Amino acid sequence: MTRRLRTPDDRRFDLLVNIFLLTVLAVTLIPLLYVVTVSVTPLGRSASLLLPAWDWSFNAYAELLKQPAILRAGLNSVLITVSGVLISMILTVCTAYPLSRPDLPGRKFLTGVILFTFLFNAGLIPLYLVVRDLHLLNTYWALLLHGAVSVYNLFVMKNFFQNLPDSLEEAAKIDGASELQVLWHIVLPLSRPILLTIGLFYAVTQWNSFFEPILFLSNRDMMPLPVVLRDILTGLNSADYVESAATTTAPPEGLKMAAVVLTTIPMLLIYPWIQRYFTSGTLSGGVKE
Amino acid sequence: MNARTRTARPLLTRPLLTLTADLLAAPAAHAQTDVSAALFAANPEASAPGANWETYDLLRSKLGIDLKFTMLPAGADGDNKLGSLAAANDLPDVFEIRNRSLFYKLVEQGQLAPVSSLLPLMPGRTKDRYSDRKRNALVTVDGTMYGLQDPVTLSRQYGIMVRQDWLDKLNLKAPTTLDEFLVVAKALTERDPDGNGRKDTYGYCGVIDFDTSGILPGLGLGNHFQWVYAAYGVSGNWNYRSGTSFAANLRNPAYRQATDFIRRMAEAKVLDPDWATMKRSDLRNRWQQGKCGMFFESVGGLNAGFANFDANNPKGELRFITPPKGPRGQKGMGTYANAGTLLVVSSKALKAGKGPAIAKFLEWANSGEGYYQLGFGKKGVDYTLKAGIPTVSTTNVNARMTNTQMRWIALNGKTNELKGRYGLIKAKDGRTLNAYTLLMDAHKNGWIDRTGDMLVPAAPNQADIERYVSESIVQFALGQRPLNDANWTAFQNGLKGINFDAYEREAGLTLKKAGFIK
Repeated sequence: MTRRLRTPDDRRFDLLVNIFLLTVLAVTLIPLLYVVTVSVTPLGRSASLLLPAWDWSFNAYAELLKQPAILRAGLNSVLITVSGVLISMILTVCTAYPLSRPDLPGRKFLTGVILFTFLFNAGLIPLYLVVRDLHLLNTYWALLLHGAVSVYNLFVMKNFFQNLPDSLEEAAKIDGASELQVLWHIVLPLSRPILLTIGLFYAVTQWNSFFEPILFLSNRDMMPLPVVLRDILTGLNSADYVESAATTTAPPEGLKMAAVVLTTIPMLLIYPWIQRYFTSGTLSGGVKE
Repeated sequence: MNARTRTARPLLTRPLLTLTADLLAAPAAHAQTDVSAALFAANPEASAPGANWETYDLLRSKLGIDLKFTMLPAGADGDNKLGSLAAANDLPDVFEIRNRSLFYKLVEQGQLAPVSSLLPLMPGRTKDRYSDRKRNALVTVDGTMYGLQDPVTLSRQYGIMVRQDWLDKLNLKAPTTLDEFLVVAKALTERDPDGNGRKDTYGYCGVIDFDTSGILPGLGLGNHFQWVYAAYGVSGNWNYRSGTSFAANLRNPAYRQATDFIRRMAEAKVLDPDWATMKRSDLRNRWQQGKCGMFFESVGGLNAGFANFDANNPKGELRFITPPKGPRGQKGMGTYANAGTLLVVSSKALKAGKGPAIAKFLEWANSGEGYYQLGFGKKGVDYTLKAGIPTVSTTNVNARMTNTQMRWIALNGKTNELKGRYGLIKAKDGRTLNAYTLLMDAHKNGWIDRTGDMLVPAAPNQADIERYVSESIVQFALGQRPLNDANWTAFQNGLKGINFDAYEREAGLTLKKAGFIK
């Protein structure tokens, strides 16, 4: 492969792009860093962006993790997210794959029906009534089934499946594979990037779900982390009398920020691991035509 | 097995299991009445009581009530949840409302039951809480009472706190007049009271805050500056003068003078430069870090932040000052509303004959066993009674907070209760601050009862009105808009454009009708 000569214009363009990206990085990273440093600021120190590591105090985290409500809520969130992603992915794949097949009878009609739900939303009250009448109130099913399939994600996945070469499937069929075997052994392994991407979308949505739990769950012990976190922050910022429990070994602001960090850590950890699959090109070499 | 089958299974088995359990269960000693109650969490950071909560057992065995308690999420989310429940005709039997617009909406929809029939069934509670005609007017629509409006149990706990150690160091006395306040604030800003060699302190820290916990919001700059307006006799929204002279306080020339005093404070740089944009939490950070010579805070806020303050300022001494007097000798810390928890009963519950059970439960919560059980938790574990004062335990805080999630329907704000709740605030060096004494000091600060303000119906463009007034006053205070006759007249004329006259007229009529003004 010949290397293209880089002109001064190219270099200037690269420099501008890099400056822009560094600015974007700073705009996103500095507030995040500040949140972290405030969360490890000890009592009696002013929070600053460059708090030396020997001054860090993890009392705020200890105070929060001492609270049974936080731990329970964390486990609830994990349960909701894991099961939610599983259910959503199974349903999305099982809907997207048939819709991607040109030989599916009534394909256009089915696509139209699904698209209709994307364009026209019935609203909150009908949703509540449906959930109530299915006796799903105060159960996790209300959170898991409502919105289990995102139409947007479904169409993204369907388009990905459609872009897979037909020759792969034909080769498998010649070798005697059934539809299910084609999906399981051929399509899904080649679709890892889209599966992980859509899975991450679902995971983030479930992890951050806030209003639905408030609406559908009455049992506080079932509430996920964002709801409990918000309640803690509300309590800390309340003007009312604050019980002695609030008098802690960490500054109130540090407690808030520690709560924010605790909530975002799981997603921050998952993202880099998945991010490497966000690249295209997994098909290269898969087809010899 | 597909998802649908898995979903359906619990739906089918649960009723069967329940039926079996019911058949196997021993017959109850007496019929139980199911009552569902939804309240805003008293301790949002703690868990809800579990199925084995002692209070549930007590209610079942002593009152024949099978209570199901759910906690409403704080703020607007709680309102949204109630709104959704109402739309689905699924409201709890008895519940709390904090949003008065929602209260009126639910009355209009016929979702709330008239409660007068319950009052004779709970004589003690009615005598203590629902016998004030004016307060009952807050929940009366077209002559029918639709809510149980408790008096406020915790208000007027705010005040101007001063760093007494700094005053002593600079050889100053606490200010008693507005002029003195400005002098002291300047000294606390310019004379390096913390001795760190830097000019990093401010004479007065306050923010634009309209918190409604017992303190009424107002048009303008909110609670933290109400003492300035009180010093000119114009605190709060309305002047409550009888007859035809009723008007909004901002019509009064004294309102301009008060605004001008705040402008002078800003001009003298005795206010934190971020005062107009800061939040309450920022203010709390500032005083805890030792940046504020004087600041506006509640006893609860002091208690919560004292450990941090003490770590930053080991020799720091805080106390309330009396509100500074204005040029005509007037003073006050601000306005408050004598209205606390608002409970309502759903029409559905009253139609189902649950009224007597609800009344019985509320009466139980008003005094004696129920009062202590809901207000302070498990006797001997969560609290002990010492000379009639409930003293809370500090060893099992989380359990106590869970056990007292319904405390707002029990607490009454009486002396022993406050003494029990407001204990000692301890510094590292052994010094103590008595929170109860501080609260009593705060109460003495000349608060003006403006309960009637809660009745005033919001204007259709309420947000526009509030934004216009607040932004205009901030511009005057910051000097962005010179505070002269022409600009003040323009501001007054601008009120016409947002239909302020109609809002003002409606306020007057409402207050007169309810007997708050003659």
